[in-house]
Formats: sequence, structure tokens, C-alpha cells
Amino acid sequence: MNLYIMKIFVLVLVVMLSFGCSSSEENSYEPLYSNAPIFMKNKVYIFGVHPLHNPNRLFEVYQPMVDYINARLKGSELRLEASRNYAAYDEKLFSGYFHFSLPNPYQTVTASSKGYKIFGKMADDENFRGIILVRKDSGIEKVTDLRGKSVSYPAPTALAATMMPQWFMHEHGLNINTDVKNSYVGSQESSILNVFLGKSAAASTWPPPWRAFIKERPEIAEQVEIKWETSHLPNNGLVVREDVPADVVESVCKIIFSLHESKEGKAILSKMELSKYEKAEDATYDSVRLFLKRFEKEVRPIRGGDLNDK
Amino acid sequence: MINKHLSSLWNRSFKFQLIYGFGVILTVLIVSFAYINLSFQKDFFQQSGMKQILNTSLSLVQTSKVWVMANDYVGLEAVVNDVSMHDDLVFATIINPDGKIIAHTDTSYIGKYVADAKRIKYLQEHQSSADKNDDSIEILLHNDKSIDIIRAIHEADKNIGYVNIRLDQGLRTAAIENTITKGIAFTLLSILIGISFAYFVANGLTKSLSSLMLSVRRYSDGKRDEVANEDTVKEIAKLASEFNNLTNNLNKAEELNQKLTERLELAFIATQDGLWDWDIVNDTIYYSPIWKKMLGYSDEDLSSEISAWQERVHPDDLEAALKAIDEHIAGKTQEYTNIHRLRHKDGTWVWTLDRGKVLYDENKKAIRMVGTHTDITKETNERAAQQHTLEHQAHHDALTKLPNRLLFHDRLIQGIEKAKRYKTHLAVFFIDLDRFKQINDSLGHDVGDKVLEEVSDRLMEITRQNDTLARLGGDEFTILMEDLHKAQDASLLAEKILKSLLEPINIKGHILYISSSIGIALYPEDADDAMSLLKYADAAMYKAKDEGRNKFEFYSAEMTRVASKNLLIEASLREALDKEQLEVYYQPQIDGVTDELIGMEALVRWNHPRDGLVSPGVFIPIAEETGLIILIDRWVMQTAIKQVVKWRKDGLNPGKLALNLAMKQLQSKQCTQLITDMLEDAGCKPEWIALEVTEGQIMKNPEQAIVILKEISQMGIELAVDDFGTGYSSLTYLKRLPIDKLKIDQSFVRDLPFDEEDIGISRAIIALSQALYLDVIAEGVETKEQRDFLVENGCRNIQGYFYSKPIPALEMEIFLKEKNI
Repeated sequence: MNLYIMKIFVLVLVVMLSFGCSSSEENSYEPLYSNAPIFMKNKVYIFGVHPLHNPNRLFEVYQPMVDYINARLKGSELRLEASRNYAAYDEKLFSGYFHFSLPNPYQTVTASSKGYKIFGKMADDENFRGIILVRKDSGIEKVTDLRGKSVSYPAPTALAATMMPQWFMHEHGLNINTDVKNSYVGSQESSILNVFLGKSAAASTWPPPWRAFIKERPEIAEQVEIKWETSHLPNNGLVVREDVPADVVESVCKIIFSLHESKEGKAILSKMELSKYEKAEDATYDSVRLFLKRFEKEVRPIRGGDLNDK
Repeated sequence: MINKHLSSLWNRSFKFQLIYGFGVILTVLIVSFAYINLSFQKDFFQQSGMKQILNTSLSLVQTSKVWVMANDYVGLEAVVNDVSMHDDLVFATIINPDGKIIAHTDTSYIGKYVADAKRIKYLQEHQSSADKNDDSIEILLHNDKSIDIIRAIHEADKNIGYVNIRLDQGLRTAAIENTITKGIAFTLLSILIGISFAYFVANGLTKSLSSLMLSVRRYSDGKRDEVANEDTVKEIAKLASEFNNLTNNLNKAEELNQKLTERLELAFIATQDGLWDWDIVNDTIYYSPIWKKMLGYSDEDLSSEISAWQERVHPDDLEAALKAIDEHIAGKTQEYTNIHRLRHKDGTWVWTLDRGKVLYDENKKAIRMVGTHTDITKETNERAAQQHTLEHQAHHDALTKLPNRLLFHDRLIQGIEKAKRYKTHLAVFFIDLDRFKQINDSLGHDVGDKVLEEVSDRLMEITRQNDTLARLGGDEFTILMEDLHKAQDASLLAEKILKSLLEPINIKGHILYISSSIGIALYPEDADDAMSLLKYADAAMYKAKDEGRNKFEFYSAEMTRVASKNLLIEASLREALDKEQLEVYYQPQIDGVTDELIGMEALVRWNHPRDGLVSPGVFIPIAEETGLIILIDRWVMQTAIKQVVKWRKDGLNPGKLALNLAMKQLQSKQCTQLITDMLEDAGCKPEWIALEVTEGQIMKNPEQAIVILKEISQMGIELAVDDFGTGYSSLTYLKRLPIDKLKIDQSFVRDLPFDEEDIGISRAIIALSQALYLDVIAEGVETKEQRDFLVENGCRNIQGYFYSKPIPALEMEIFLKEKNI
């Protein structure tokens, strides 16, 4: 009888023990999927910006503007989208994936023939020009002094930083294809460093990266000077897919063109080093179309390579 | 019901207690240990799963961010594929803010939308904005099989997508289950082994205990030769062995007891002592048959009551007997002893020596008293009375009937014991009659004895019943004052005594005035033994006498110190007197106007063989205190007088010799006689000398001083008051004193002529001397300025270093010769 009581006692303990060990919550959840979105508050319009920065920086600079616009739009919203490179951007733009987009002048012109309408642009056209840097001690005075020497560029299809300086040199009597050695070094900074190190006699770039470089490496910038500036072309354009409802476009226009009138908007623009966005139309970019046409005809072909950087 | 059953089982069996006690403790310990251990392991496994999923999801957030921003499916696929290599990954997916799957380890889901409530809820909650400090991690599922979390990818304060990962917990769960299974098996096994062990131990123990129990029962049933089995476990064997020892001892004790009882009975029969045994608690008493036989009764004739004894005690003895019993019961005596008479049946008195001892319980309460009655009629009849008288005589003073020194000492010792025990204080008074010797000498011993009787009566009246008043001998009385609460009580008694003894005593027509000096020592403040207390009281009494009699003094430690130091110096001084280490120096006294010698002061110097010249400032006060000053002064006087006479015989003029006279000398009756003898012996004329008495000493007892100083003055000796200005003289006395000269104390001269106060005082003294037609002299004059000031103000007699320091006789002789030329 004693043993019997003991057995009961031990059993109780064992049960307690096993309860204690398997006390995890007996919940279950399995993920479910559907082919159509289940929730969506607003109509989403994708806003693609051409890869003028890496995606992180691009979000840093442009997300505040998108948020600003979304805060003022009713029933719809813009969603910022970066692209891994120009090829990816071009593919999305020319396939009509973006609703709104901010392409460079060359892409703007191309998009206008691929179902997009030009409705605005960045102001400050005077910034959209090329500059040519030489070392202060290089002794180069005339464009023709570059004959037989090497010139560094970021990329062959960059409009402001490569094509416009090449056009400038072409107009000042150099045959780009034979008189100089063209060195496409991949980035704006690389192009500037090449001339500082003496690997090239001149470096081709455009104002925004040069200003950034002065801030970051003042001791190097000190030894380099802007020798020549090209004339300018219309700045980056704003395009919208033709099927986007007119009232949405109108609302976006109203907000984006008055950015510079508010303090908050000014702060957003200053990150872009821009004074404002302004109205534009198809004819605004005629000068770009003309430049491209003459460049292809007189300097070198553009198509064949990617039209990448400026 | 079960409780009751268990409780009865528990109380009944040691075996049950052992097995269950052991079993329960073991079970609780092992189960607790196993539980803690398993919980810990389980937590560890689960935490490791959580840690892995958090790490994986975080790395996915970081690697996928740029592709999410670019909405780049190809890039996303690559990063998602990177994490799919984990074995326990169920799926990893990246979701855009619309709930669209933009990457998934199973590519068939890409492009679809999340449709389960949990994720939709999460997405909606985290859509609007991102918290920078928080990764918005949410655990969607966490159980034994799976762990599933979702977290946000944020950029520029915006959630741009979400990572959702699920891990399979199967492997971990299996590991945990395995550990638990093993843990339970181990726990059960341990408990089983433990309880079995307890069972065997308990069985063995109870078996041994039963055997021992049987032995005990047999022994108590009378089987005296029972021996317990010691061949068992150590502890029980020890118990059995102790039991065997116990039975052995009991057997022996029983035998011994029987023998003792027989022996005691025989002893009582032999001595014919009666035995009584009083049960104090129940107040019953046993009387032995011999006790009853002693009084002529048979065992049945007398009842066993206290009254049987009490009624037969002689009425004169009863009180003392009862008191002796009470005192013994109260613990005041070590042993109860009393001799009393008991009435025999035939009416005669039986002298019995009653002795007994009380027994107390643990609360110190008397519970029983046992004793014997011995018939001592024969012995007692002659001796008892005699002894009583002798004893009383030995302890009492024949004249006053007061306790004598012996008894006082005894009472003092007992008093101290009592004070120690009850933490009380006591005081010892030492009383000495002032000038009792004079009464004895002048009026005879008969009168002296009457005085002592009268004093004894008066002291008896004043002292309390329980104080002990004793006469130590001569005119010395002592009082032991017990239960003293504060020293003040002793003061009160002392004052009463002083006042009472001041009352005139009328004996045979003589009206006698006496006074007394009292010294008091306190226990435990001053000493804790009888000898010291008496000695200290004596010392304090001498202090009181020294301070002028008719007063009392409490003993102080200082007295002992001073007394012992004084003793040393006294001895030293006596030796100095014997061996002529003292020397007389002379300091000239000069007329400050003419620079002529007018006299000299004789001063004593002690040239100690070891310590060199001892300052008079050190030894004179001690000599005064000890009374040695009398001898010293006499010696100085004798020596100086002889010297002066010699000089005069040699034709030199030493002027007036000033000698210091101690007050102690003045108090001596033979003072004038002594001086007369001294002068006659040396052939010195009284007008050749002057005696200086300090102002302070005169003022101690001015009336007496006036009488003696008048006698001296009538002899034709000049008298000067030394240290004038320091003794608070009363001008009334000053006028009545037969003095010729005031001596300005050197303390007023020292700062002349600069200190305003000293200028004032010295001028006043000079003015006073002029007003009373007294001569004046200044001592301690060291500078010309001081001399000039004093002379200008009317004091032309100058003594001090300015003229000469004290010099030995030989030098003085040269000085005198130079002056004479």
C-alpha cells in the first residue's frame, strides 16, 4: 500500500515535469498569397529617377520630394524607384514602366517618342554644361595645345560631361577621333584625379561633381583649374506617361513647380543643388535634338554604346 | 481523510518517516534539478533559433536594400538565393509596401500578393513611416516546429520593403525532446534507487531498534541480567551499549542505596540524633522515631506537624530559633545552627543542638529543609552561658559597650560583601576627638572615660539602627554606614556628628568643650577592602585635623599620593637634619638711602647629597604639611642665633637677625618657652632678633595668633608680617596684632616700577604701615629702578638680589667685615 501511494506521487511529479517542458504556445500560421493586391489605399504612380546617384544617395535626395508631393496629393501617391544602372533605367523608361520620370536631356528627348510627354524640367540650365580642367602648371593655353595629348572623360555617352566638351574641342579645331587620346575612366572623380596625377593633360566633367570635389579634396582641387566651359543645354526633364490622368499630372505640376516658394520645398531643392523646377514642353528640348544630330554627324556616333552618364 | 491516514502513518512508524522523508526530499531535489536543467536547455535551443533568424533577416535587409530601391527583381533573386542555402530555412521573401512579393526563395510566388491577415496587418501598421531606432521586427510564428519573423527595410525615413523569413525548428525541437526523455528516465531511475536504499536502511534500523526495545521491556519487567544485542549498526550498537552500561550502573546504584540506607539508620541509632525533614511547600514534616524518643514519646504519640516541635521549644529560645531558620532560608547563613531547649514529656528541658540545611529549587525558592536534633543537655548546661559572655566580651568595648575593633572589622567585611552583592555603597567614618589628650592629662582618666561614654551616647543617638558604631580605642570612634545612596548622606551624618559633639559636656561640674575631626572613606569609590577603607578614613581624618579641626574630609586619592610623597620627603628631610645636610644662608637687609646693613634674614638651604641644592619652594611646603617645619625652624633658629652671637662676639655688627616662625610653632604651648630657652642658651639678646610670621598663617587662626604673638612681643622680640598683601588680612586683626614691621611680598615688587597694579599695591602697603606706625621692608628687590621707586615712596628697607643673594655664613662674615671697615 505504501508503494502504491509512492507510485501515484512519482507519477504526479513526472506529469508536472513534462508539462513544464512542453509549454510552448500551440499556435499556427501559414502564409497565404493571392494574385491581386488585397489592400491598397491609393493609386500608386511609380516615379523613376535616372541613376544620377547611387540608389542610397538617390533616395536620400529625392525621397523627401516624393514625400512632400504625396502629402499634398489626394487619392494617389508617387513611389520613388531607383535603378541599378543606366541600362536598367533605360529599359524601364523605354518600356513604359515608370508613370513619372526624371531622365537626362538625351533620355528626355528619346522618351518623348516612346509614349511620354515632357511637362517640366529642372531649372538652372546654365549648370548643364561641360567644363575642361587642366593642371595649373600644365602650360596649356589653347585648345589646340591638347593636340597629341590624352584627355580623360567619365563615360562616352555622358551628355554634359563628355559629349558637350568633345563638341567644344571639336569646334575649337581638334579632331576628337585623331588629335587626342580619349580615355573614358568610368566616373567623374576618376576623370578629375587623372588630370591631377598627370595621366591626362585635360579632364572633362561638369559643374556639380566639380563643386563636390572641391569640398571633399580641396588640396587637390587647388592644383587644378577650369580652363574652358562649354555653352549649356536644357537641364534634366520631367516626363509623364501619356495614360496618366490629366488631373493627377496637373496636381503634381502645381506642387512641383511651386516647391521653391516654401521653406520646406527650398530645403528639398537645396539637396539637389537646384533653384526650382519649371514648366517645359516638347519644343524646349529642340536644342538638345539639334545638338545630338550635329554631334553624331560631325564628331562621332552615339548609338551603339549605352547613353549613360552625362 | 487521506490526510488523517497519512498523519497517523507518519506518527506511528520511524520506517515510514525515513522512506517517505528520504523519498520526498530526493524527488523534489532531482525533479527541481532536472526541471531547471531542461528549461535551461530548451531556452538555449529556442534562443539560438531566434538568434539565427534575426541574424539572417538582418543580413537580408542589408543586402537587399539597394535592389528594393531599384525594384530590381534580378538583384533581389540573387540575394534571396544567398540565404536559401541554410538547411533549416523554410522560405525567405521580400515584400514591397503594396504587399507584393518581389523576391522569394520559391520564385513561383514572385509577383503575387500577401493574403494572410498577420502580414497584411503588419504591413498596414508599418506602412506610413519607419522608426529609425527600431527594425519593426515582429514574430509571426514561434513554436516547436517553426519560427517566422517579418521586419522592415527602411531608407530615408520610409519603409520601402519588408523581409519575411521562416526557419524550421524541427531539428531543435527533436533535440529538446530527446533531452527531456532522457531527463525523465534519469529522474525516475534516481528516485527509484534512492527510495529502495532508504527502504533497506529503514528496515535494518527498525529491526535493530525492535530488538533493543525488547531488551528494555524485559529489564523493566525485572529481568536484571538482561543484555542488549550490540552486534548491529554503529549508532544502535552504541545505544545498546549505553543501555547495558545503564542497567549495570542501575544495578550497582541499587545495591549502594540499600547499603547507604542501612548505614544511615545505624548511624542515627548510634548517635541517638533525631532526624527531621520539612517539606516547605506542603508544610509537612517528618520526625524520626529517635527524634520522638529523645523527648520521651513513641513513634505514634506525636503528629508529623511543625507544631510538634514549635510547641515544645522553650519560650525564651523560640524567637532566636525561628529567626535562625528564617535567616538560613533567606540565604543569610551557610548552615542553620541553633541551640535551644525542648520540653521533655516529663516536663524537664532538653538542650538540643539543631542543625539543618535548606534545599532550593531552580528558582531559588526554598522547598525542603532537613536537619538533626542532638541532645546536648549535659554539655550545654555548664558551658553555654559562659561562652556567650566570653564571646560578647571579645567583641565589645568594656567601657562604652560598643563593638570593638574586632567586631567592627568583621561587620565591615560583611558589609562590603553585602554591598558587593546588592551593588550598594557604604561609608566608613573615622572620628577622632580634638584635644582629648588634654582632658585626660589635666582632669584625669575618670573624667576622660566619662567623656568617652557621653560621646558614645551622643553618637548612638545620631546613627541609624543598622549603622555600626564602634570604638577602636582611645578617643577613636568609627561608624560603618551601610545602604548609602549618595556621598551627601555621609556628609549629613558627619555634620550632625560635628554639631552634636560641639555641645558642651558637663562632667562632675566641669563644663568641657570638645570638637572632633572626621575622615570618611567610601566603598566602592575609594577602596573595596576593609583594611584600605579604614586606612583611608584615618588619612582623611588627619587631613581634617590638619585643616584646622572640627571638620570632616572625604578621602581622595590625592591624599594617598601626597601622603606617600610626603613620607618620602619627610624621611629624607629627617635624614637631612640628622646628617646636617641643611645649611643656613643669610640675605642682607640694607637701608636703601645709606646703603648700610640693617640686618639679615636667615634662610634654610637643603644641600641634598644626590639631588644637589633643593629649592625651598619644594621642601618648605611639605615640611609645613608634615609638621617637620617645626624641627627645621628650630634648627635654623638655633644655628642662626649661635652664628649671630658669635659674630657679635667677634666685633661684627650683623644688625637684626630675621627668623621665620612657622604657625605650627605658634600653636605649640611651649613656643615662648622654647624661644626663651634658645636665646638664653646662646646668650642672645631678644632685641637682636626679629621673628617673621606669614600673613596667611596668622589669618588661619588670628585669635590664637594674637595671644602668642603678644607673649613674644613682650619678650622684646621684633615681629614682622611676612608676605604681606597675599593673605587677605583683616585690618581689624592687623590693628590688634602686636607687630612692628610689614614685609612687602616680592610678587608686588617684581614688576615695579612698570606695572600699574603693583605700583598701587606697594604704595598702599607703605601708606598702611605709615598709618599704623609700622616699619616696612621690601623683599625680592632686583633692580636699581625697583630700589629707587621703593625708596622714593617711603620704603627704605630693601632686601634682594640688587644688594645680595642669600649667602653662606662664611661669605656673610666677609661681607660684614667689609661693611665694618
